[in-house]
Order: sequence, then C-alpha cells, then structure tokens
Amino acid sequence: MPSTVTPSLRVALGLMLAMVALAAPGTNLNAQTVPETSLVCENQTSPGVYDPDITLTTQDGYIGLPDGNTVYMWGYAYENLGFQHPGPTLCFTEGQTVVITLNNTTVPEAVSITFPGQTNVEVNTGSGFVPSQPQFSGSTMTSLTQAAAAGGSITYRFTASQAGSFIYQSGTNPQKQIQMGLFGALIVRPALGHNYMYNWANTRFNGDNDYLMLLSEIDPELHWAVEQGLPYNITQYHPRYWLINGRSFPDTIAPNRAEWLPTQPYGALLHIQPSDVTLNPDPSAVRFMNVGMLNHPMHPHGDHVQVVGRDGRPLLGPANEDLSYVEFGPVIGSGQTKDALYDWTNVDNYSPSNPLPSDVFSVMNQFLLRPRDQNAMWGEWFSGSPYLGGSSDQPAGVTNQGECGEFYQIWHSHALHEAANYEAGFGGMITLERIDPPGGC
Amino acid sequence: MQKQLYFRLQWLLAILVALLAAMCLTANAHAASPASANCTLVGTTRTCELWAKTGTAIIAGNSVNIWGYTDSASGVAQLPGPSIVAYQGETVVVILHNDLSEASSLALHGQGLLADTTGAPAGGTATYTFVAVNAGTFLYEAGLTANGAKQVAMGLYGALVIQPTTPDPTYTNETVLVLSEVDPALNANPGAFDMLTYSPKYWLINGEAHPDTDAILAYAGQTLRVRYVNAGLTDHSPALLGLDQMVFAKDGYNRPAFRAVAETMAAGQTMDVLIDVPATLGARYPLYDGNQHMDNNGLANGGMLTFIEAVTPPPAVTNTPPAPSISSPTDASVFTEGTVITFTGAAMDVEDGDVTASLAWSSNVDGPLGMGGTFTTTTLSVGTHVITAIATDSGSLTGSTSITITINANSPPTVTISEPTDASNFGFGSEVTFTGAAMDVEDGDLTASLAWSSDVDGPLGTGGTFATSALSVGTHVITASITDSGGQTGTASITITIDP
Amino acid sequence: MTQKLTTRKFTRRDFLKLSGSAVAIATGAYLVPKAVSAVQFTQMNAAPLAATPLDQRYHLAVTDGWIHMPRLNNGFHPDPWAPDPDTFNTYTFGFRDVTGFTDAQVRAEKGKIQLSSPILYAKEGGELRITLTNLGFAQRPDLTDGHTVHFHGFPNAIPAFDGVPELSVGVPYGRSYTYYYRLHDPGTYKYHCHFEDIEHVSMGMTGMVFIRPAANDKWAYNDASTAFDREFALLLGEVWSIERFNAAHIQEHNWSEYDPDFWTINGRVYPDTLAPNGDPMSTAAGHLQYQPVSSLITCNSGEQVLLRFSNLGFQRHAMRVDGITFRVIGKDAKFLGAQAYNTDTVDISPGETFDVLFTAPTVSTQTTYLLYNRKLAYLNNGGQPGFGGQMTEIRVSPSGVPPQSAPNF
Repeated sequence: MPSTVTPSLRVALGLMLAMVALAAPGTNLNAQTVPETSLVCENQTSPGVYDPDITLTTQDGYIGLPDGNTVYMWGYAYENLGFQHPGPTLCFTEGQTVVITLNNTTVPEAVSITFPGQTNVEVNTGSGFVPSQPQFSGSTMTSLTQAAAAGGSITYRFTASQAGSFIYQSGTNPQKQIQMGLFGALIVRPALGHNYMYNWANTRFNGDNDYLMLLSEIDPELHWAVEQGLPYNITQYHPRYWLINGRSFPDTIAPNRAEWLPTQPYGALLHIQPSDVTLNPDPSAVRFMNVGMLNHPMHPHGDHVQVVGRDGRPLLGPANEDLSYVEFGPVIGSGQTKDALYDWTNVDNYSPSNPLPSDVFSVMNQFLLRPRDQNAMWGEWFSGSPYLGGSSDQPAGVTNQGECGEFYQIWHSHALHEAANYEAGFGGMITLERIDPPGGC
Repeated sequence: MQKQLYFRLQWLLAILVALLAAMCLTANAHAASPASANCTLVGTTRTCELWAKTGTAIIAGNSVNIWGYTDSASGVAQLPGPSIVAYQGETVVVILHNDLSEASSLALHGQGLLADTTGAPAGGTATYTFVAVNAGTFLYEAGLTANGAKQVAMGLYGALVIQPTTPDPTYTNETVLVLSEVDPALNANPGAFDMLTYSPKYWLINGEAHPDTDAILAYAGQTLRVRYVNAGLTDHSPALLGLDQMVFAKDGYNRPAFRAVAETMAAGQTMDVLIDVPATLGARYPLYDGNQHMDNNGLANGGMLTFIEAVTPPPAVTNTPPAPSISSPTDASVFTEGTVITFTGAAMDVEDGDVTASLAWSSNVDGPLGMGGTFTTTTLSVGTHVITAIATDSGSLTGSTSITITINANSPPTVTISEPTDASNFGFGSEVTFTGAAMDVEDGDLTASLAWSSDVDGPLGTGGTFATSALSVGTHVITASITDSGGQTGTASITITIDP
Repeated sequence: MTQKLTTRKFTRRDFLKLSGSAVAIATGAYLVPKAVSAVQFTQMNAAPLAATPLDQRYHLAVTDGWIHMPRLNNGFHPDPWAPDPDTFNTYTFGFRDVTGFTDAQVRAEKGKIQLSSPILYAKEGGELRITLTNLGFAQRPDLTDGHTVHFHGFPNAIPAFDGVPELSVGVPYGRSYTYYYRLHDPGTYKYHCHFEDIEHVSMGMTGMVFIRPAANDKWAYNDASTAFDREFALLLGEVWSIERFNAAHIQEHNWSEYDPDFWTINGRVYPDTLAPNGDPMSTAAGHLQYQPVSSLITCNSGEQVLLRFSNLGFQRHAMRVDGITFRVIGKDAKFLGAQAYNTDTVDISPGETFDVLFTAPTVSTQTTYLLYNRKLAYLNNGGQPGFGGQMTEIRVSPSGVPPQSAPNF
C-alpha cells in the first residue's frame, strides 16, 4: 500500500525558498534577519551579543502538521511578540547573569519556568530574590519551582556558569504544560569562544552550522481537550505527531522563519559541505534535546556523530580525560540533552575522473517505468548522478528538488513509527542533511 | 568531592542510622532507604532469610494487592522488599521461603549465579549462596520460574547492596532508591492478566508515589551517593533540578564517570551516582523521572517524585592526637657501646587517657627498638641516634617525640702483668706476688677489678697486686682479665711453673 | 541558480550510453554479478570458516513470504490466508540470499523470504557489492513497491548507495540494482530496506552486516583485545500480528497504534531461538524453514565469545544475562578502547549496535546461562503463559564444542 506521502506543493515551495540566501523575517517574530538554517538566538542584539535580561510571555496559538491538521498549543513568547512553537531559543555567554521575567498573560493556570542543569536559580515573586524551590500545598507538590499565577508575573535569575545546551520548560503541572508546548532551548556559549560547544578545544565547530534538534511529541487528544476545556487523563497519553524544533517533516526542512509556518519559526535542515582540512576544517554542532515523555533513538545517515556533552556538561573525566564517543544511533532520553559534532567526508571521492566500477549504480533499469511509478522509484532529491556535484537527466515526470548536484542524507528517529505524520510515513521526526559540493552551490 | 577523615566513625553512624530507622518502622512507613533485611553474620558468612508473601500496599491512597518479600516468618510483604546488605568478600547465603501458591525463585543479580527457573515450590524453600566479590549496587527479584515476570511486576523485588570493606572516601552519606511501577489491573487479578496489556498507572520510589515518597535527607555541603535500582518493567530517567549527578557505575560495574542531569536506566538495571549537595540548609531539590511520570493514575502532582533535602551533617568528630614524652635518657646523652641503656616514656591522650602502652620506640639507625613505657637495650650501634617514640590513639591518630643520643665505640681495656715475669719458676709453697694493671680508655683505671685466674687452680685474686703461696705444683697459665662497662674484655696471660 | 528539470524523453541511445550492456537490457534481465562467495547455510556446516574475501559479492532477492510464529488465535493470527495455520502462518517481507543462483532459480524464490535476512560480511580494505533484485510480492500482486538496501551506519555514505529512495533510487519490481561499498571501518552494522521503511522494516526486511578488520578475521576491531573464538549476531525485532494481517489482506494500517505481539531475536521467538541454523532451500527445519538463523550460543570454557547485538525493532530492549559478565567493547561499529565497560544488561535502542565480548566461564559440566529481555512484559509470545520472545541460552561446555564454521553456528 503506498503510504509514502507524495511530496506536496508545500515541499516544493519550501526548497525553492531555501535557495534564497536569506529568508524574509516572519511578521510575527523577532525582526532580526536570520539565516535559513542553523539555530536562531532570539535574544541576540548583534552578532554574538546576547541580551541577558529578557521577558517572556505565555501565548496560545495553533501549529500546522503536514497532514493538514492544526493543533492548539500554549507557548512561551519572546518579549512583545506573538505565539511561537517551540518557545524562543535563548542564548547566553558563559558568566552572564540571566534574568528572565515571565508574564503569564494567556495561560489560564499558573505557569513557571525550570532550568534543568542550571544551579542557584533564584526567583523573585515580588519581594526580592529567593532560591528556586519546589512549592507545596500541604505535602503535595504543586510546582517544581515558584510559578506565576494566571495573569501574574515572576522573575527568574541565575548565572549561566556552565557552557552547553539546555532545556527550559514549565515546572507546573509539567505533564500537561510541557506537552502543550511550554518549553524551549537555552544555549550557553563558552568563554573559549562562540564557535566552541564547551571550554574544550576539541569542541570547536563551524559557526554557520549550529543545529538545534529539539525533539517532542504531540498527542492531539490532549491538546483538543485543553482547547475545549475538557478533562484529560495523562494515562491515556498516545502521541500521534513527532516533531523536531516544533515541526514535522517535510516542514522540518523548510527554512527558519518560513512564511507559511508563521508560528513554527525553526527549521531543522542541516546544510553543510564536505569536511576538508583546508576548505572546511570544522564540524557542525548538533544539539539534541528531548522534552517528550518517550526516548527517541535518532539515526543520522551519512556519518556518525561525536558526542561531546550531556545535559550541559562536557564528557571529560576527573583528570580531564576525553570521554567523548562516536555513534550512529544517538538515543536522546526524556528530559536529556546530548551535544555532538558532525561532519561528512567525501572519503572515496568518486567523480567522473575517479569513477565507480561499471557494474554498479545501474540506474538505467529505472528508466523504463510507468510514469506513475517513477516518482516512487526516483527520488526527488536525487541528482541522478552518484557523484557530488554531478547531475544527469531526470526521468519524465520527476520534479528535482536539488540545486547543483548536492547530496542529501536523512536523519530520523529509528522508532520508525515516529517517522510519520499520524499514520502516514515519510513524515514526523525526520529532517535532511544537505551536502553541497565544496564551495557551495 | 569532600573527604572526611573519620573512617570507623562513618560506619558507626551508618549502623546507628539504620538502627534508628529500623526502630521507626511501622507496617506501612518507609524510611528514605528501604529497611535492611535481618541477616546473621558468623565468621565471614552472612545468612539472610526472605519470605515471599502476598500482601497489600497503600499506593497513593489506594489499597493494592502486592506480592512482596519480608525478612521474618510473621512479617508482612514489603514494597520494595528489605535490602540485602553484605560486605565485599563475605559469603552470602539467602534462604527463600516461598509462601506464594506457585513456584518462585530468587534472582540475585550480578553475583555470578545462574538463573533459577525451578525455584521453590509453593510452601517450599530454596537456598542461594554466593561470594560477594564486587562492592556495588544490585537488584534482587523473583527469578525466571514460569510466572516470574508477573511475580516481579506484583512487587517481588528489592535492593542488594554489597558494601566495600573499607569506607569509600568519595561520599559521606548514601541512599537506596528502588524505582518501580504498578499496573493496578495486574494486581487486581494477576492470574488472568495479559502482560501485553501491561500499562503502569503508578510510578514509585521505594514503593511509594508522591506525596508519600520520603525526602532524601542528605548532608548539606557533602557528597551523597545514590544507589538507583530499577525494578520496573520499563526504562526510567532519574532527573534532578538544581543539581547534577556523577554517574559512575551501572549494574554494579564501575564505568568512566560522567556528569549528567538525567540519565536513562534500562529495566532491571542499577545505577550509582554521586551528588554534591550544596551547603544551604533546608534547600530542597526535586528528584523525578525525566519521563515526567508525576501523576497518580492520571491525578496530577504525584508519581515518581521526591526531594533531596539538605540537612545538618552530623558533627565532625574531633580527635586530638596523643602527646608522648621521653623521660630517659635525656636528650644529648652519650653512651658507650654495649652499656645498658634504659628508655622510659609516657603518652597521654585527651580522649583516650593514658596510651603509654601504645608507645613504639625506634632509632633512625637501628629501626624498631621496643614497645611500651620502658625497656632496656645494650645493642645500639655506634653513632648518633634519633630515638623516636610514637603513641597511637583509638582513632588511629598518632603523636611522636624524639631525643638524640650518641653511642661511642667502646675500646677494650688494656691489661698488663708486670710481675711475675713470664716463664718464671717458683718452689711449691713459696709466696708468689702478682702485679698488673688494667686501663680502659672509656672507663679509666679498672685495675682494682682486675680478675686473676689460673687454668689449674681457678680464680686466684682480684686487684692490681696480691700474693699467694697456695699455687699447686705444675705449669700454670695465669690470666688477668677485666671487662669494661661496655662489655669489652681485655686480658693478659703469663705462664709460670711451680716446682715441687 | 536554475534547477535542472527536464521533461525530455529518453532515447534508446541515452539508455545504452549509461548501461554499457546492451544485451542485458534487451532481454530485460537483471545483471547477475560474478559470484565470488556465498553465504548459503548449506555450505557453512561442512567447511571451517574461510577467510573473508576482499572482493565480496552478494545477490539478494526481495520478495514476501510466510514465516512461523506461535498461534495467537486473536482473529488476525494465524492468518486465514496463510499456507498453514501451524507452520507458515505469518505474512512477512524480506530478503533472500540468491548469490550464485541462475535467473530461473532466483525467480523461483518469489514468495519465499527468510527472517531475519541473511548475515552478510566483508573485509576492511576490500569491496562489497550487494545486488538487489525485486521479485515482487506473491501475496500482493497489486503492490508495486520498490525496495532498497540501506547499509545502516556506513560512515561517510553517499546517497547513491545509501538506499533512501527519496534521496536516490528505489529498485522497481522486476529490476536489479547493485550497491557498492569500499570498506574502511570495521564493526557491526545492519541493513534494511528504506522504501516505505516503517512498513518494510517492521514486516521483516532486516539483517546484519559486519565488516571484519584488516588485521584479523577473528578480531572485532583492529585490536588484539577484541579477538574472539566464536561470534553470534543477535538481531532484535518485533512482530505485530495485526499489521501482518493487514498487509496480506490489503488493509490500510495505522502506524501510530504500534503494538507488537511478538519479540524476536534473528527472526525467531523463544524457544525457537534455540533451534539450530537451517537453510531455506531445505524442508528439514519444518516450521522454521524460512527462519534459518539460530540464536543459540554454544562455546567451550575459556573461549572468547563475541555477541553482535543489533536492534531494528521500534522499541528499546534490555538484554540481560545471568551469571556471566559481558564486556562492551564496541558501540555503533566503533571500538571503545579505554572506554570499554562491563555490564549485565545491553540496553539497546532501535538503530544501535553493540559488540559484547565475554569469556566462557570454567564449568565442569555443560551449563546453561540465560540471555533475555528484562522488559518482562515482552518476555512472552503474544501474552500467552510461559516464556517467549527475546530469550536465548548460552550453553558452555567444558570442551568439545567444534569450531564455528560461520557466524551463529
């Protein structure tokens, strides 16, 4: 049964716009011009300079899934801007004193922010800063930290003393509020430099290739119940949608600030060039995070990732031994982050002057197809040539999404039912890695 | 990491805390760590007994049928079962009494035992023996008899802790957290339950769901070891807020340690971490399942959630070192080699009192000399000695003091015989006068003690001169000898003949 | 930046220019590579393990078929359209090793897959060719699904041979395609179809592939500490009876309801995991004819045994052993070196591989150690009483177990 979703107009639009050097800023969002890929620091005031004193509000709104469904969400919003999902990615430099004021303008219950991995978080509920502490009603905890009542405000403060990648998420009624969308990514850049993941020379990366992979799940029944004001029993939790940076494939490969995804501003496309000692010596940074209730076993095609940090702590032993490791199946556990470096090397460098053996890559048999079969057999992201930068004629009826013979590899959850939009395959927790020929297209 | 210097006292405290905890137990109360099973130690063999029983537990206010272990025939099933605590190197014998109505066995993981698929029949017993080769944290649970899977899910599990024989200085307090789940549909009717429908509704730490979980009272400003045991049927991701944890072991095996905020444990796995607890008293740090299981069958604010609470650590035990003294010989004394030297000293300790008996004396030249308050020696070698006396108290603290003495070489005395001349003759009965002298470099003139003897007649007289007419007929070898105070002897000999 | 779109029709000239083999194209036959070595199980029993060739070529056929799972009697299983409710009763997609088969012999295997798929191996520094021939589905003539081979974890892969059809090509019904790899990185990998992968993987198109290090065929990596006397591939998976029924009966299927009934090692459930290796061309194995890969681990005291764990299910599994210490020396085809660690549990998620070495304990009589999934809700067959699923045995003898002739023997 052909359960592959035929690539839609949405996809074609997505990639055509991806070819534009800079995406136009979304009208609802931070007006800074952002690149089409790589993570966006919403509180960046100028390149590499981050505002440590910010305000978040709570908003509600809708996101779109590629099967046409929309889902009601809550979310943190940046300063005076509107609803976005996920919450704004916040960046700080190691040592900054971070002050985040939360105005709970929209959510009809108390909301808080917890900062797993941060220490000495303080909270000001109106009468000065006190340590962040769980809140109780009798012996029952009501919130993992002090919260802002509906319509109220609260301020959190901490020193960003650890470089790394962190989650921020609500600590009040977390099973419901995190699922509803109250989460975001928080990046702390090390004093060593913004193109390092930690104060560790081996974690240097190409500053243009800094990728967030924030994984989450959506049970649309829970969201519908919240939207309708009906009760929902978390024991019935049954996710149907699987997201990276708040989008499901193929939306994951649309650029940052894609205009047709106004409430989902973050893409997850990796856009790199082959590793090269002189032309491209530094790997990409990949910041995996998981705010879902389930573990997600990610699998990058193309090459292994090198894991250098966990939960905002570098993988260095007590005597500074290098405990980093390499894997092709990085599993991101619930509530955990995993910092990794990634690159792709054209090891065998096949090309017309260094060709493949003549008995392999025989695509000619694919030409003699019924037109309706061709789309399924000949990939839209396939140049037709096995060589990087090469191309060949395409079969009739095939729309090629490529630009200059670049390679595409897929990254996806290997719990394969999560690589779906509800029941439709080739969706969900998938993104692509685009490898341009050296020098780009 | 912060280290504490008291070794034995940490153990005393641990035992004390355990005793106190045991005394506070009621039928349904749970201390922060599960109570330890009552085992008996004979020599190096520790024997524990467990009864597998049916019972009930109150989970989030609901009474739930459970199957659990207890450590006495009359005890009630516990959730989790009592912890089995033994020490590295011990031989551990665990006797299972199966009070269930079906076969059941024990799996004591990580101890080199084969899976027991037969076990004890209903009402029977089975005995398991192992040597606790490695210190660490392990899981024990119902083994793989035919219904073993359901038996574990019904509550037949607990922690197996093998303590090191010398205290680990990297932490000063520890706790056991057994993580598990309950699907009440299973507990209501285990016989008919289809395990494919297993879907937990309760998420437990040490058999309780929040708000019934106990806080972990950890010493403020010190390092806490947490022994996680995942007795559940699915993985869990223990997470902390405001703290992080250094993961150093899984399944009781050490691994290269790394820091994380949350780390996943597979079903049936154990994990050991160190947590540095900040010094602020009363601060509470949530510890919860990163999978967000913080509900009780759908009711919010429950589940796998507890708190690390920083409490006043026990007072640091002061132990003053003992103070020894040497009364004799006095510092800078000089002795001749071989002379008798008497050493006398004493040692007092603030806590222990008189610890003179612990004094250990040594010379930096000759090594250990003797023990206790006083002893004598004549065998110190020639040269300058630093004599050190070290006292040790019951807390293994030491104090020392030293003197310096010099041992001079001892020249042997010189003996001369001036009369009679060698090879003289005398008639029997005539008076023979003997005259000699003994001079010693160290002792001076020892002539008065010169001892004269004949190899025929024996001792003849003493002193520098004397006469005798009692020599018997024959040839005599006359020897004059003297021993100086250092034990060196000088002699001189002549031969005379008494004619008949 | 213009796109290279074309609607130009292909001329026969273009066609021949690319193919290089007019005769083959004219007859419509696939290209059969020259067989250098085969992994036919019938050949494995006799000879001791030969050196892994530097030029390794496999020919795999893709089709559907029927395998055995214990009867569920749940209305979906056994499938009423199955050849027999007690033997071949579970609809499956898969690969078959047809290396060296003639054209006619290959086509005769339509409708006869094996689960799990053939174990493939090759040599670091050498080359590997996998020619895939799509025979179509005997039970589903309406399905024109293509198939691919994705060599999972192959470092620095290029899309043409990575097997993701949307990013390269799929192999249509009746056609062949040769995947080609130059091998630089030893270790334990896996392969699976990536065409409509949710379905094709869960329907059974999964297998193991390992690359032997250049230094020594009986090392896991280029390090003497990874030497082994015996090796066993343990590929974990799940089977969902309702999905199998729907696939055979042309029913739509909702993946978000994923809920398997069976848990497999090398395509079998306990106690079938203990049955010996077989050969799909022989009926000797009875109901396990099309599940020829054994998971029984036999060894002699003191031997080093390598277990190559892999998970191509959709669930995380906790493979635990009682009484033996496992040493994890490799993860995702990377040698751990100083980061190797001991464990009792191999905590393995979909898409991961682990290399585990253990020393067979000293025993005075044959001793059996259990290796099983501690996710106890899965340790059964369809929820029925007794143990099932991902359980197998490690049987250690004092001596006398003959040397291995192939992995898993």
